[in-house]
Amino acid sequence: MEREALKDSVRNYVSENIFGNELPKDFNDDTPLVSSRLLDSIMTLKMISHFEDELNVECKAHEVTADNLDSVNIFTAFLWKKLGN
Amino acid sequence: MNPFFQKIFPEIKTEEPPHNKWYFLNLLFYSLVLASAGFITHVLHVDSLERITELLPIIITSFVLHAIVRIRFRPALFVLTFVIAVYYAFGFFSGFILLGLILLPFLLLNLKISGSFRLLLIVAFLVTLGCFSFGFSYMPRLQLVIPYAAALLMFRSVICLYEAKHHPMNENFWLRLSYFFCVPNLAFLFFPIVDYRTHINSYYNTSVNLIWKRGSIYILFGIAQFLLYRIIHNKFSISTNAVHDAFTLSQLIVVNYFSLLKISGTLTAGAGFVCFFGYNLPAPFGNYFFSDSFGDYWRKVNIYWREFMMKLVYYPVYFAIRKKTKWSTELSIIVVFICSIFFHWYQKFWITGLHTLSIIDIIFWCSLGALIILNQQFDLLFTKQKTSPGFFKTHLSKAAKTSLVFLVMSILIWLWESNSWSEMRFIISKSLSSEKFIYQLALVISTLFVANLLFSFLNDFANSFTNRANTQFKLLVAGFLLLLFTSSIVFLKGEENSVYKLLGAETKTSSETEKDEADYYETIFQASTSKWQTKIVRNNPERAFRSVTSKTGDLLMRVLRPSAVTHEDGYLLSTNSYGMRDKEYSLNKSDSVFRGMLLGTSYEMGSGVEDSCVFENITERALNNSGENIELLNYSMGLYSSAQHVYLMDKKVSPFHPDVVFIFSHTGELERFPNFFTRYIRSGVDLCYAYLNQVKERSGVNQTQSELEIKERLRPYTTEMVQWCYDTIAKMCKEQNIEPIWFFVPTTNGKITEEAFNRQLSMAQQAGFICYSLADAFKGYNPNDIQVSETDSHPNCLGHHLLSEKFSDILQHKILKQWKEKHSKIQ
Repeated sequence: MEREALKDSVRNYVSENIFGNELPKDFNDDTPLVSSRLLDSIMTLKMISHFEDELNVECKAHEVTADNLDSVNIFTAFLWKKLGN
Repeated sequence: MNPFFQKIFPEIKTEEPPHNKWYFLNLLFYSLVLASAGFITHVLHVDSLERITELLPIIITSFVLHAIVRIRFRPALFVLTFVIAVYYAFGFFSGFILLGLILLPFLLLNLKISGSFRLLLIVAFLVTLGCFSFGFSYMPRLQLVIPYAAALLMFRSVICLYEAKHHPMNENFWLRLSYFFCVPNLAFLFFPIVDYRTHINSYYNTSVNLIWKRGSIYILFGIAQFLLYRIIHNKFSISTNAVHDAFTLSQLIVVNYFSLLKISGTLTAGAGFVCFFGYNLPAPFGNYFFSDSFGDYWRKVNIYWREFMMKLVYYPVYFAIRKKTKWSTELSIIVVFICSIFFHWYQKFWITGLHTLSIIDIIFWCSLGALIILNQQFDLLFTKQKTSPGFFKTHLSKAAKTSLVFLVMSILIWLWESNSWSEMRFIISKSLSSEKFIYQLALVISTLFVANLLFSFLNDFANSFTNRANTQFKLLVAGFLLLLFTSSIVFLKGEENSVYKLLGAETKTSSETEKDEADYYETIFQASTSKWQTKIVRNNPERAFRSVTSKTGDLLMRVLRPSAVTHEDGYLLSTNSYGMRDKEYSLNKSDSVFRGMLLGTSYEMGSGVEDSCVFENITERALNNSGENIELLNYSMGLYSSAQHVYLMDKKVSPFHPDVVFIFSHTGELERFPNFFTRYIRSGVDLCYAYLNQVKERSGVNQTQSELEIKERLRPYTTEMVQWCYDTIAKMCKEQNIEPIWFFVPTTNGKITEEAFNRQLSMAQQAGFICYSLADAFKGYNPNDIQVSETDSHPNCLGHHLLSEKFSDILQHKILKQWKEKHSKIQ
């Protein structure tokens, strides 16, 4: 999978599952999701689970931090690294 | 820059703010905000911020210097500020110990060793420190600083152990050190659990003005919450005795629920002070009073705590079991709440030295966990329905949910802060007895619902403003200026005015005064007596007292062990072979000796002072040195009441053939008597006397009832029971040809009204006692000068000397004189 396609996939997931397909006007790929508390623990785990299944990767407990999940860009980079890039 | 300095103070990857005139104007403005906050907290006695107010000159100076120097030097300056504050607060020696206690685990955490060895070393360090806190050895200088060191280390060391296991901790040395050397935390024993990553990553992560603004908002909001709590408490709190219907019950529960404002206010203000040094910390609390689900409540109330639990417990447990069971989320939540019980106990132990865990704590955390799981299951079912409700339906549903969460949480918090389950049940049963209970309850719930509906509309309306944060800030500044104005009035007019009475002093209801055990947070808030002092559990006189006593199965319940000696708390407490805190006497006495038997309580026993300082001992020595020949035998014992003196008189006194028996009555004796009798009932001891058993029967008290219920049931019988005790003692004395003498002894800090004194006096006179009063023994003395300590109101050596002066005078010039006259006539 290309990095851009991965980012689209992450953005689509966020749009659908966090904002109910209605992304706010001021949303961008750097909008904080975890530190701004848009993403709660259950949503976070669901999102991780979704991408684990989709990309066939495995995340660890200590990786569930804002450092890896805080925005579309950060999460994409994290997954991209997980894919061995 | 010199390479040496570059190595010591490495560059921090963040933008230097431009040092222009706006920057310095902002610096001046926020310094004034800090100073004003200090002024308000000082004038209005915001006790949980007392220590930070004292440190403010250091903090403001450091804040200004911090803002002027380059960013690479700032974390080091923050650490230096901590060191200065430590030496200011604790002096050189204790300060040195405190710094060592913090530095040691920091070094251990940063050693390049294996994770398990590091864990072992940290655990060994904490266990050793715990042993001192527990009181295995009496080292007051060390024990003084343990709670302060613990407040900085107890959670930070756990977080760092986790961090070190998963990530290399190779950030800037000073930033790492500043995580432990956090000045504001020094002033707060109870402080938000700041995450290590948040501490590092938030450092100047946005413009400096925004961080200072955030800090100001937190401090002002924290103070506002604290003062709101005080207004609610002072205006609306009621005693448990006053609960009689649904209105008063709701008042009790809701006012109690608002005590969380004190906690959230303290933690929010605490985080605010950290922001002034560049750490852009998130808000520690959300708007938890308006949570619309239990999950939402858990997310908003003490957010740092939740994040700590998520990081260290929830995610690790979830990831460990997620492939093994479909209930992984629920099981992880259960583990989180079990660990919450442990960590609350852990926090209480480190800050207070107490290691008790109550069943109420367990019930509270388990109930909260169960509610969150149930709520989650409900949401899973509910979210399957994709229909979107209309505007009014949304608000109605939100208001209903918010009201439910508010109601359940207020009851749950009430349970957590109550003495016992049976006490709650008793209070509820009292209000249920009101005929209008159902209507009143319906009215309370409807009012709550309407208030929440209104809030929901208002919240929606407020959200429609584009720059809501700015409006909030302006409102807060306006409120702050009002507070500053109010504080200035209090400052100028003194504390004798209505504003101070509303905001400045916390009044206690009678049930709060009587409460034997403070609730969880109150215990933690009270851990530090004042300023930079610590209640050292080891130095609790009750502990030493207990080591020389033993339990009995009779009405005395506890007696001093015969021939026991303890120096445990730095003073000698010894007993003779009869179990009196006194020297040895023979059973028989010669006719030329005047022998008096003292039946008293902790005051007469000399709680908190040396054997030689007890006023009975001083009096006996002084009179014998002046040529008298007297023996004063002291059968007094802490926690004894008149009923136990009856038992002593009945079983122990006669073999000693005293000429007189002294019994002692103190300020508030009648009010306290039901507390003593409640102990007998709850302990199930044999009341021994038919009359006492009759009262037990008539009042309907039994062992299964709560302390509150027993006290309330006994209260109408108090005067009657004390009178019976006096009558019985006097009668027994007369039968044995002993003169019964009653003394009134004032407490060091209590004032007795003339009416109360006359009531106690007339009861003694009616029984046939010869009565004397030592009421003015402490006249002209400040309570602090005559008490053992700030937390122990028993008389100290000076207090006992003052009592002895009066007691000797009456004994020598009245009692002995009469005895001698009577004695010479007989001879």
